[in-house]
Amino acid sequence: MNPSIINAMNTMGSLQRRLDIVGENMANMDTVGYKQRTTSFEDLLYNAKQQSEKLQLDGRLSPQNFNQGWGAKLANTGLSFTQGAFKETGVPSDLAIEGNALFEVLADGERAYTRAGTFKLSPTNAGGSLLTTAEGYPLAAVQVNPAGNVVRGANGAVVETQIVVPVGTRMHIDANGTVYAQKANGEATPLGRLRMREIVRADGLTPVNNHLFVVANAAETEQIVRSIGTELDADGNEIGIGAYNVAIRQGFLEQSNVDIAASMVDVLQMQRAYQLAARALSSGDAMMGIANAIRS
Amino acid sequence: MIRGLHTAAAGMITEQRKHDTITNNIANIMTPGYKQTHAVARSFPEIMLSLTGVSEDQKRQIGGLNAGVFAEESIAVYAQGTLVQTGRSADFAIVSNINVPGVTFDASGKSVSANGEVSYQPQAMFTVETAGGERRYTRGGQFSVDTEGYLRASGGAYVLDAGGARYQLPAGVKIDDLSLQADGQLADANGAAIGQPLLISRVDQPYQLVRDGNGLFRYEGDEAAVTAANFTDGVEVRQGYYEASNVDAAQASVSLMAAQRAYEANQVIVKYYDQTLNKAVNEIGRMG
Repeated sequence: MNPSIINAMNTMGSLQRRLDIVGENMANMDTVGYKQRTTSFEDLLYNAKQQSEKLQLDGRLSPQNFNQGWGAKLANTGLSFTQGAFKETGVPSDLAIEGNALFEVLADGERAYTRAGTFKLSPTNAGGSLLTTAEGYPLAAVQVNPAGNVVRGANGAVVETQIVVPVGTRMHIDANGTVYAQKANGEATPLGRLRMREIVRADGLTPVNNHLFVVANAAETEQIVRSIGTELDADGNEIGIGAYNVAIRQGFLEQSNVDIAASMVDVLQMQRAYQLAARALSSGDAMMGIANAIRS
Repeated sequence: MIRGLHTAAAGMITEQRKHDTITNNIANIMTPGYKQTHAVARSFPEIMLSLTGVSEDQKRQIGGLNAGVFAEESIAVYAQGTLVQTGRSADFAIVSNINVPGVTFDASGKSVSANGEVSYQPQAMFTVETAGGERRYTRGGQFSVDTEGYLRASGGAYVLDAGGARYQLPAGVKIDDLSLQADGQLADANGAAIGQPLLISRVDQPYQLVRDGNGLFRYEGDEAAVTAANFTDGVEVRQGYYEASNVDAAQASVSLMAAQRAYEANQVIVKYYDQTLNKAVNEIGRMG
């Protein structure tokens, strides 16, 4: 077949996929905690049309052989973890993260991470309400003492827990992620501190359904998403998540970080590039027609 | 007569190659760091025709004839692409305008000296290494950081540092924490250097770079001729930007039409030869 046709076909396929990704971003413009997918292009393989050494003539610039390219493909598909805008809801179980971090969630016995803070308080059999994601997965937290400091075991290890808000109290969360049960008279008892993870290697996170991200290789978890907000500094004081420019906002939701104007521009560019490739394809087709018409 | 038939056919094949090259340019109109390619055609070596079958004193030379054309080479046009701001910390763009003392280059990077010597402007390139350890060059600066902290080009090749090793971020250090200094060194918020500077290569003979696919170029010939670029003589690297493809859509569309029409013109010549041959074979000397 005419190489121009193959080339244009490859490219149109790649452009279509890029358009699909932009379409997905635009569809999730109003999805809480959605992170924009990003992608880029690179040129596809080249092959060399063999030439004999006799063709290395005076005035030639490049080495032997004629190089022919075969189009473009999608490359470098990833996620953009830039901050989304905050929307105030006033709902106490709506949490938003300011900064580069994720909540840790226990999804069916596995660790998952999310930024979608549309949480809820699910009543439990034992009384009280468990803090979970919209899908019912409990949030991971660590135990704290009545002073609000993290409880440490014999070897300094933290004790994992879940947040259960007792009956008759309201949940209050400070910027550091410590959760308090607040009585009507204003008396507050700490319930635990939410486990926060700083994103170190965003490429290691795989998006799964329900706005969750997972780490493909669990052994690499600490390298990819570092646990923050529980460790101690040299003087034995706790390092808050504020040291990583992270804060939690109660009563707010983080909107998606999709930039609608940039997405529209991207769509227009894709459409024009697609048209040009289609033009090259029909031109290649016309050439095959011309070759066919030699004997007519 | 048959000679002309082959000449026209050679013209068709050449135009096809040109058309394919332009199609590839159009295909890569959105590819970061792509350099527009130009297919160069050359006529077949000239042959001398002379009149034969006449007596010795009447022998006459008719003159030279080029019995065809072929697509000789496809060369990249290393004009600077526009810089696009993304704000992504792993995007880097090279602005390459290397000065050679005493030489002035035109927009296409070519210079012809007073005595007719042609020289080309050296180009700056990111230096990467494939998984197999082969050295490649690229202008596509949309990098990413893998889970082990290696900085990788879009096709997965490892970006090299000035020491020739794969650039790796230390554990716990994010690319967003780092900013690029004027000398190609990545430094943290306190200005402390992290690793060695990125290796930007200076290619004095840019036409010795052959495309290798996945956005990379391979240097054909002695690698020793590729040296580390000096940031003081016209090379600049910017973080948060990428260099867009330098393909001109309008020019590509026009060239596409021109190639198609030239192909058609050659086809018409083939048809004329066919008609002429038809007359010679079937009509000359026909009786009745």
